[in-house]
Amino acid sequence: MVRRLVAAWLLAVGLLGSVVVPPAAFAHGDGETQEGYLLVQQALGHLAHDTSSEGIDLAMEKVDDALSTEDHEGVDIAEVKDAMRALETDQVQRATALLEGSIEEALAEQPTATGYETGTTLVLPAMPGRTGLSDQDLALLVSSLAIAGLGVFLAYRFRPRDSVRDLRGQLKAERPSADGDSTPTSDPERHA
Amino acid sequence: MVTTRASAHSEGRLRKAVDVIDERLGIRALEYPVPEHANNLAWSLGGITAFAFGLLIVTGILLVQFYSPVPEAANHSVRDMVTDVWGMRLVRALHFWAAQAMYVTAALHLLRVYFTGSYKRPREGNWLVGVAMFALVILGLFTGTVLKWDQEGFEALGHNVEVADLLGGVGIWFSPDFASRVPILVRLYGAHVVIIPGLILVLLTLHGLLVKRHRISPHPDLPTDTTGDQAPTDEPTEPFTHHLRRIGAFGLALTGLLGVLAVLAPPAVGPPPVAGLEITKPPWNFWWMFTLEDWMGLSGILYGGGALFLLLALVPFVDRNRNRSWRRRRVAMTLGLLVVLALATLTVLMLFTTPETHLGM
Repeated sequence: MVRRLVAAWLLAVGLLGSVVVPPAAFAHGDGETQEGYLLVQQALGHLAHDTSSEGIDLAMEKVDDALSTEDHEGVDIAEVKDAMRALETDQVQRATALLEGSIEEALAEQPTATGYETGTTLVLPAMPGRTGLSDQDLALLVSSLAIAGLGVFLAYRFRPRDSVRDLRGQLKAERPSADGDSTPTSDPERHA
Repeated sequence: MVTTRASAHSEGRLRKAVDVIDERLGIRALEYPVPEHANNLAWSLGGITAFAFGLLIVTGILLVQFYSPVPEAANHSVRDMVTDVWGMRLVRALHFWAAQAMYVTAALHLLRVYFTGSYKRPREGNWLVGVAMFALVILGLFTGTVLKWDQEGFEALGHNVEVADLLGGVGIWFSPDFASRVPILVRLYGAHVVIIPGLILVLLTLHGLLVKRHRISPHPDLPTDTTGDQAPTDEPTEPFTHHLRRIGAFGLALTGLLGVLAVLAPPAVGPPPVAGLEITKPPWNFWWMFTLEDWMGLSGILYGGGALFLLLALVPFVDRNRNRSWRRRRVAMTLGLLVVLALATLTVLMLFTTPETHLGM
C-alpha cells in the first residue's frame, strides 16, 4: 500500500515536473549591466562554472556584450577581441588568461567593497571537496566508524527497559478500564 | 571477588566526586524523574539536535580562526584553510555536515511533536519557541551558505536582498542600504557567529526549562493522567540524567556518521562571485522555495516561507482537539501530511529546473 502511494506520488511529481515547470531560460532583461569590465568578469564567471560548449557559448555572449557596450573604462579591448577568437576555437585556458588580463586596470581602480559588492578580483574555478583518499583520510574514516559503532552500542546499552508496547501492556494490566488506545483516561470527549 | 570489590570501590569514588560537585553546583537537580517513553529515539530528537548544535559551536570556533569575512578575501580564506591548515578540511566538512544534521533532526523533532500532539495544552508556548528555533536554524544555514562567498552564496544573498526589498521597512536589516559603508558579508558574519547562535542558546535554555516545567509530554499510544496533559503516574520513570546519557550515546553515533560523511564528501568551494550572474542552484534545504520562485517570481519565496511559518505558529491555536493519537486527529493528520507532501513535491521539482534569472528583473 505504502509502496503504491509512493510510486503514485513519484509519477505525479514527474508529470508535474514536465508539465508545470517552465522551460529553462536565462533572461537577459533590463537588469543587465553596461559596465565593460563587469561583462568581462561575467564571461569569466561562466567559464569558471562550465567549460562545455554551453558554458563557452554563454561566455561568448558576455564577451560580445562587453565589446558592444560603450563603457570600456579600464578594459583592454584588444585583449578582449583576442579572447573572443580564442573562445571561437575552444581555447578556454587562453581565453581565460586574456580576459583576466584585459580587466586588470579596471580591477586595480576598484575601491574596497562595501554593501552588496563582490570584491572579486580573480574568478578561480571551483575547488572540489575531495580529490582522493589519503592514508590520513582512511585513518579518519576508520576512527569515525569506530566512534559511530561505540555510539550505537551505548545507545543500545542505555535503551529504556520497556518498549512502548510493553508499557502499554503494563499500564493496561494495572488499569483494565483504560483501553490504552492513546485516549487520555480523562478524555473529555469520553466523559461528556 | 576482587574485581567486584575494585569496581565497587571505583563506583564509591565516583559517587563521592559527584557528591562534591553536587554540593557546589547542584547537579543532582538534573536527576528529576521523566517517563520511560522519553528515552526512545523519537523523543530524543530534540536532544540530538542540541548535540549537533554543540558540534557546530566547537567546529565554528575553530573555523573563525582562519576565516576572513572581507569580500575581497572570504572565498580565498576558505580555500586556504582547507588546503594549507592541517585538519581544517575535516573541521569545515564536519561543520557543514553538522549543520545538515541539525536541520534534519530539528525538522524530524518538529514533525514528531506535531504528529504526537505534544504541542497541545499546556505546551503551546514551547511549540512557538521551537518554531522560532527552527527558523533560526534555517537562517543559520542561509548565512553559512553566504559566508563561503562563492557564486552560490552570493546568489542566495541576492535573493535575500530582493526579498528584503519586497518586505520594505521590515526587511531593512537585510538591505545593503542599512549600513552602506560596511560589506553586507561582514554583517551576515556577525549574525552567523553571534546573533543566530546566541538567540538559539537563549531559546534552547527557555525550551529546556519549559520542558521541565510542563514535563515530558505523554505518549499518544499510552494512557495519560487524570488531567489528560501528562504521562500517568504509574508509568515507570527514569532520572533525566539517563535521558541525557542516551542522548550522549546517540550524539556519539551521529558524530561518527558525520565524520564518515566529512571524509567521503567534504563540501566544495565554488568560484568567487560575479555580480549579475544567476547560474547556481541553492542548497537542497531551500529547493522548495525556489520552485515557488520559478512559478511566482521572487515573491514566491516570501509568500511560501511566510505561509509555512504562519501555519506552524497557528497550529496549537487552531487545533483544539484534546486527543493526541493520530487515529482521533484525522483533520490535523491530513493537513500535516499534505504540507509535508507539498514541501517534498516542490523540493523534487527543483531537480527538473535550471536556474533562471530573477534578480534585478
